[in-house]
Formats: sequence, structure tokens, C-alpha cells
Amino acid sequence: MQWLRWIRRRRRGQADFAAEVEAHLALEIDELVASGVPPDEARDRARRAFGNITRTTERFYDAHHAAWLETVLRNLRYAARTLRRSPGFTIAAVLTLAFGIGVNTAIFSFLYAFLLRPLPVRDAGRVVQVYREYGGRFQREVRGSVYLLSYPEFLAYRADARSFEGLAVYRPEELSLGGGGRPSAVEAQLVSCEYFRTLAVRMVAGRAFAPGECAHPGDGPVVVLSHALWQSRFGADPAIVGRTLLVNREPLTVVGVAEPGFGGITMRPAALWIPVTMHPRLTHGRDSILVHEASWLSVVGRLKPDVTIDAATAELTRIAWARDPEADRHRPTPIVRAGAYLSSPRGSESDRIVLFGIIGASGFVIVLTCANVMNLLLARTATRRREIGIRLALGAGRRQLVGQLLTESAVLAGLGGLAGLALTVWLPPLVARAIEGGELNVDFTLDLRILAYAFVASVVATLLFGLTPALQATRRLSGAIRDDAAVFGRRVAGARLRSGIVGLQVAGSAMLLVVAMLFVRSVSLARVIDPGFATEGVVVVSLDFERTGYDAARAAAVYRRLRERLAGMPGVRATALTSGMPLSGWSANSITADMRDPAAAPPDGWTPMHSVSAEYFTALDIPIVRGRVATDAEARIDGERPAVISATMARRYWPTLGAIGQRFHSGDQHWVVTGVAADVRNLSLDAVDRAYVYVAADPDRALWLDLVVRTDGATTAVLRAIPELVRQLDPQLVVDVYDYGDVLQRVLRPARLTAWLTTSVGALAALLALLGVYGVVSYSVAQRTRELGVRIALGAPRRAIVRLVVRQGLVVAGLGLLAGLGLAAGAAQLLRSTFHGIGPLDPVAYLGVGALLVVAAGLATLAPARRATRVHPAVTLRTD
Amino acid sequence: MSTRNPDRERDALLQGTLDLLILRTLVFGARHGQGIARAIQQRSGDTLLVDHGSLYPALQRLEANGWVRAEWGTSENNRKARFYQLTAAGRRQLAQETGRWQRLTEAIGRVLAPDPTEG
Repeated sequence: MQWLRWIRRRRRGQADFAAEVEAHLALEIDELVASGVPPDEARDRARRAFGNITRTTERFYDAHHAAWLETVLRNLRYAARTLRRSPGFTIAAVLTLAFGIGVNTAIFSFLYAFLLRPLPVRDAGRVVQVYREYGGRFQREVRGSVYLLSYPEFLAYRADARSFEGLAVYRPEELSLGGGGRPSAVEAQLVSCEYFRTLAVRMVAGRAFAPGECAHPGDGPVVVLSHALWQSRFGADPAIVGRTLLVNREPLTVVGVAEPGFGGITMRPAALWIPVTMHPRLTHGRDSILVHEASWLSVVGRLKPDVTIDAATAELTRIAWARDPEADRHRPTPIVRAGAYLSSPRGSESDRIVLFGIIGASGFVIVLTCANVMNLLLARTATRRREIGIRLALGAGRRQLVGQLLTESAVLAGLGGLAGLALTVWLPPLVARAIEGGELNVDFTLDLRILAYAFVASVVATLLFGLTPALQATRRLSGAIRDDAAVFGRRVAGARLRSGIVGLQVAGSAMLLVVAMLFVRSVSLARVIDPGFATEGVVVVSLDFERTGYDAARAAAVYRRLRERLAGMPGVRATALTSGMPLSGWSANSITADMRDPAAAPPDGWTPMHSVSAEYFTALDIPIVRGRVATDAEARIDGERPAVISATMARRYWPTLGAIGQRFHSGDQHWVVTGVAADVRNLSLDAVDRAYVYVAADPDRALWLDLVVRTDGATTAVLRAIPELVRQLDPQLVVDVYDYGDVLQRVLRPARLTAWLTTSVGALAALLALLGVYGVVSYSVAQRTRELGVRIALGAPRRAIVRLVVRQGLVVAGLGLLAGLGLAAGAAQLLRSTFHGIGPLDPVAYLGVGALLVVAAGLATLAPARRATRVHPAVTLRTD
Repeated sequence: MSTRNPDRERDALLQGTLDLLILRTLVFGARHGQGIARAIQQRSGDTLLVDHGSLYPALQRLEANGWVRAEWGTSENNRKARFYQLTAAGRRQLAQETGRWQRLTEAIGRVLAPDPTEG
């Protein structure tokens, strides 16, 4: 009934209360008059007896109008007004807070997604993951983690456990998928046949695995595709079920397509699923399916509705002990965990350190952010001292004033938190992708817990940066009014600390920027974009001759006919044969060069090489800088084979003699150099190859060669035409066609992201640090207003004042910068192996960042400096 | 609750006792605010001065707690006034508080009285 009473209370208005007070006074006067007091005096006495009428009315009002709400609303209105009046400050503070809170919440969201969020399947609450550790000693083969299970172990659990509606294993493997598309590595998963039923995954086409398909090792040449793979690779072919795909050269029949969005329960989305019993056939003998002493399978289960994790654990423990004759020695301990991406009990020391590191870093970010905003706020309250002092003098309660200042802070933090959510949405998937180097199967969307975290972070931030300035500003009435006189020419307490914080910020951002700069220079965009060979309009055709029983001569014939037909196609510029494409693997031989200039002998190592037909250089636009490319006819000669070497290799091996006509060999293979090709990046995009050999391919030995087709923008048409051309030649041949540009994009992404991420984080950190410089200098100008006024009154020129103020900012920034460059040198030393073409002490990076930050710090002090010159000498005359 | 005591001979009300006194004055029937103030003053032999202003917040509080009920009525001399009346909950509260108050004053009395064993 509380609420009823509340309503009744609300209904009683102030007029009613005033009427009651009036009635009271009237009655009192009546009584006094009746006892013989004259009416005028009676009125006075009645009022005196009542006390302070206004105060009583106020108390009524406070009690009846949810006064705190009124206060909050009034404070909010006031805060909005004040903040609107100084948009520069507001924007700076909100952006800073958005960064701090956003990064913090993003880190939480990241950890939450991996550690706590339920797996992306139906009714995930009952989905658990099963691990097992051995308390005793047990020698076994570990592939992945010691907590994984062996197949016989899983079979025992599945046979005897009653706690589960379903129990299944899964094992991620990268397999090569051929047949009907490019032969590429795909994320596959070997699963037991209950997998889809356990996870309650539906099929959009075909069916899931049948129990019989997992009965014995070697069973189940079938495959279920992910919806994504079906769409991207097979064009959502409605007749996909029943088709045969080559996976690791093993023909598998497609039996089903999983529902959209399902990519397994591992971080990297699975493209297809194969019965685990196929493991021996897919790995060509290297199988562990029946080995008991192996840890290689992850286990997922769905608990029956009324079974707890503890009960399931107890049951599995009984089973594990019952089946192991040496259980006393091994002490198997099954572990059941609520399903999550990282549910493995691998909570080792190093993981915990990483976790603490992450949490500590996020704490550091928010503390630095708050330090920044606090600096800004202090500078602001310093200028508002007089206003606050006056309000205190007029009788405003300290609690009221603190409430008001805190409300301002809360508004800033709230706006910052909202803006920070953008960062939360956008950052974790990006970071995850950068780390994993591909799309992830992880859900980073906002949910209530993440929002709650952002809210708490905002509240904490408000208190962190808002409380000290608010308390300081309202400390004492006398202090509030007197303060600016007290600091004449001196530093205020705490100024040193704030400068120190800003110095550290400058140091941190300088370090980040230098490292970012090293990355950018190392993987500079120009180099990344131009690897030295054509990447556009390159189509690669790979025919699986071996499975079809072709010999070299038949293969060569097929290629010859295919190339003839392609040559007649519009848009085809050139075709060539090659044993491999740049940036996707190569073979290497240890070669010995026949050098007549032994003084210049380079240290001999493994020299990467691949075999190419004569047109390869034309097809990929690799210029021949000297000599010529041997014709295909010349390549047929047994014995000495013609070769083209890279320019750098030519320079290294035969710096004075010229490379043409020189010979080198490896074992009984002999080569003679006929030409020198321009340097390209075959091995890695980071740098040109130190040495590379293109051996003339004998087109008659085409079993292991791929066909490269260079088009003039008709890539799509060529991609589509080739399978048909091959079918006309031999319908039995399995053909893979792919656009080389796609491969390249995948190769490039991590490099681009690394450079981009470090740069953006460094830039943001620098922005924070510069805001800090601005804050500290502004604060000190506000504090020294009177001193500056005296200086101006005594005739100090404008320039001297500016110099005075700017110098203070530059000292802080300069010290921070020096420390930061030192730190950067240390960090770069650790990272030196990832830099190419530049040393860890690359002067451009250090000088560039140094100059940039000094200029920026100077600019950050300019606004306060200008404010300083505008101090009117009259302020010195004002008395406190 | 603030009570004022400009006159040394009159004692300021202890915190919380005003509520008790108000409830007590309402035992024999409804009264308006001024009547309550007058009654307290008279019954205490003019020792206790109720700052009339502080009476009203107390009345609001009692009303909010459901111990008194109020409605507008007419006084003996025909003035409109808001009359307060004890509710059943108010009677219970009064009984409870009175008991507590008596135990407290008794205890204080014993402490302050000359000790018979030492006398």
C-alpha cells in the first residue's frame, strides 16, 4: 500500500498546506485575542510562536516533491547549460572519456565474448564442454592441450553416461578442399556423428550424419558444408547434396548443408564437417583414432534438463575410473565446464598473467583518461573559483555544490560512455580479426552485461575524475575566494603530480608512435600494394591429374590443348605454366654456384625456386632486366637446365662478372643462367627476395604444374569458362580455378591491420597526451592569472608571456618525449625481427615522432598562452 | 526536528518525543494543529514549548506513516482547520512508544536517584 499512500501524499498540494498554516495562525490569534491580547500583538505573537513559516513550507515541499529528483533535474539543467557554454572543453573531455571508457568496455567485451558468453547454439545454457586431466602420471601424446580426450575415452563416456542428451567430439583441422572450386585450405572439423544433434543444429539441405557413418575407423566418406561455404564456393547450388568433393584428395559426398550462421563452436568458423572416423584416411596413415594415450579431441555435450554440472562430473569420474585398470596411478579427473569459447581449464600461470595484463592495461587506460579529464576540470574549476566562492558565501550548501559539480562530471562521463560504446562495437571484432587473421565465429554484439559494464565504468570514471576537483573547489569558503592570491608565482600542491602524469602520457604515446611508425615504414603501403608482379586479372587453374591416373605426357597434352583454346578467348592476354604462385609456397634447394669470383661468395643457404614456362614473366609482368628467358623447347634438354635468377641474387653471386652464362647446381641438377629478372616479393610481402630462381619448366612434365591465365579485366568470364573447357577435354578431370587476387588480399590483411592498428592506437594516445599538456598549461595559466597580470602591468611584452607559458608545456612534453623515445628504442629492439628494411633505431621514425610531438605540444600550449596575454593588468588591483 | 528554546525555563523537546506527544494529545479525539500545540503546552504545565512551525513536518510524517488521518473540518469558533485523528496503527504505535518512554525515564530516574545502599 506504500504506493497508494504516496499518491495520496502527492495529491496534497502546497496550497492546501499553506491553508493549514493560515488556519493555525488564525486560530492562535483568536485564542490570544480571547484571552485579552490586542489584535496586533496577537498577530505578532502567533507568528513568533510559529517560527519560520517559509522554512516550514520548504520542509513540506522537500518532503512531498521527491526533492532529490528536483535537485538532480536542476543540476542536470545547470550542467547542460554550463557545458554548452564551453564547447571546446566539453568536446575534449567527452572524446577523451569516450576513448577511455570505450577501450575499457571493448576489452571487457572481448574477454566476455571468449570467456563468459554462451556458445552460439540453441538453448546454450545446457551445453557444456568436457575435459579431463590426470592427477597422477600418465604418458600420452598431446595434440593441442593435455585436457583434450582420446577417441576411446570419448566412446566410453558416450556409452555409459546418462547425464547427457548428447555427447560429441570435434577436432578442428585445416584441410585442402578441391573439386568445383579453388583448392584451398579450409577450416574443417572432424566430428562424431552426434555433433549436430547435440548442438541442435538444423540442416537447410540434406541431412546430418547418420550414426552408421561413424561406426568404425575409416567410415563415413561424407561431408556437411557450412551455409557460408555453400554460398560462397558453390553459389548456393541447389543440387549440392550428392556431389563429390575432394578433401585432402579423398572424395567425399556432400550429405547436407548446415543452417545459416552456424560455424561450429570454435573461434574460427568451420567451413565443413567430416566424420571423425575419416581421420585415418584424411591424414594418410598418421592417425590417432584408436590410440588411447592421445589428447586431441574436444568434447561437447548437452546436459539433460535436470542434471547439474556437478552431477555430470561425478558420473563421468565414475566411468573414467571404472574403465581404466590403472586408475589409481593415472587418477583421471573429468572436468565439465559451461560452454564458452575458452572454457578449457588451461588456467595456467601464464594465462592468468595475460589476463591480469589485459585488465591492468584497461585499468591504466581509464586512469590515464581520467587524469586527463581531471586536469581539464581542475583548470576549469580554477577559473570558476570565484563563482563557487560567491555561491558558498550566499549560503549554498557544500553538498549541493559538490552535487552540482559531480553532475557536470556525470554528464561528461555519460556522454563519453555513449560515444565509447561505438568503440566497443567496432574495436573487438577488428582486434580479433587482426589476431586470428580471418573472420571469427565470435559474437561481439552488445548485450545487457556489456552495457552494464559501460555504465559502471562511466560511474567509476565520474568519481575518479570528478570528485577531487569538486571537493577541492568547495573546500573552504575563504579558500575558494582567496586561492588565486595564494599561488602568486608558486606552484600549487598537486601540480607536480599532474605534470608527472602528463609526462608519462607523452612518454607512452611517443613510444607507441615510434613503434607504429617503424611498422608503417616497414610495411609501407607502397610496398604492400606493389609486390613487383601482376595481381589483377590473374587466374590460376589447377588440375588434379594424379587422382585421375594421368601420366606426364597426357597432362602436358591437356595443358597444350587448354592453352590453345584459352589463347583464342577474348580477354586472355597470356597463359603460362608454373609450379607455384608467389606468396603461396615454394620449394627450395641448397645450391652451389660455380663462381669465378670466389671473393664475393655469399654464404650459401637454401635458395627458393620454382619452375615456370617461358611465358610466365609476360603473364605476371615481371620485367627481364638482362639476358633472356629460355624457350620451352630449350627447357626440354636433359642435363643442364636454363634458369632466370632475381636481380639481387645476380648481384650477390656475380657482382663483377655479370650473371648471364654462369652455372650453379644442387646435387646432380645443373642450371645455367640465361636471364636476370627484376626483384619481386615471392616469399613475403615485407621484402624483396634475397635470392630467387625461376627454373625453365619442361612443359612435357606437367603433372605438378598449374596454369596461370592473365586476363584483360575479363577475369570473371575466364573464371566461369575454364571448368567448361576442361570438361570438354576430359569430364573426369577435377579442376580448381581461382582468382589470385583473393589469395593476395588474405595475405595482405594482417600486415595492413598491424600497421593500421598501431598507428591509430598511437595517434589516439598522442591525442590524449596533448590534451594533457593543454590541460596542465591551462590550469597553470588560470592559477597564475594574477602573476601574469603583474608581469603585464610591469611591461612584460606579449612575447615574453607567451614564451613563459609555452616553455612550461614544452618542458613537461620534452621530458616525457625523451623518456618515450628511450622506451621505444627498447621496445623496437624486442620487435626487431618483425621489421624489414629498417633498423630498430631508424632515425626517420624517432626524429619524425619527436618533431611531431614537440610541434603538437607547442600548439597545445598556444591557446592557454594566448589567454595569458589577454590577462588584464587590472586583475592585480582587485582585492580578495 | 529542530526545536527552538529562546526561554531557558522551557525545555527543548528531545528528538523523537514530539511524535509521541502528538499521538498522546490525539487519544481523546481529533484536533487541529494549533489545538495540538496548545494541548502539549498546557499538559506539560507550560514547560514544553512546541515551536509551532516544527509541529507540521511532524504531522506530515505521522500522516505518511499512517498513524494519523487528517481531514478539513470546522473549529469550535467556526474556522476551517485541518483535523488530525489517531488511526488504529497510531494507537498501537502510541502504546509501544509510551512503554519505551516509561522504561527509559525509569532507568534514567534510577541512575540519577541517590543510591540507597551507599546513603
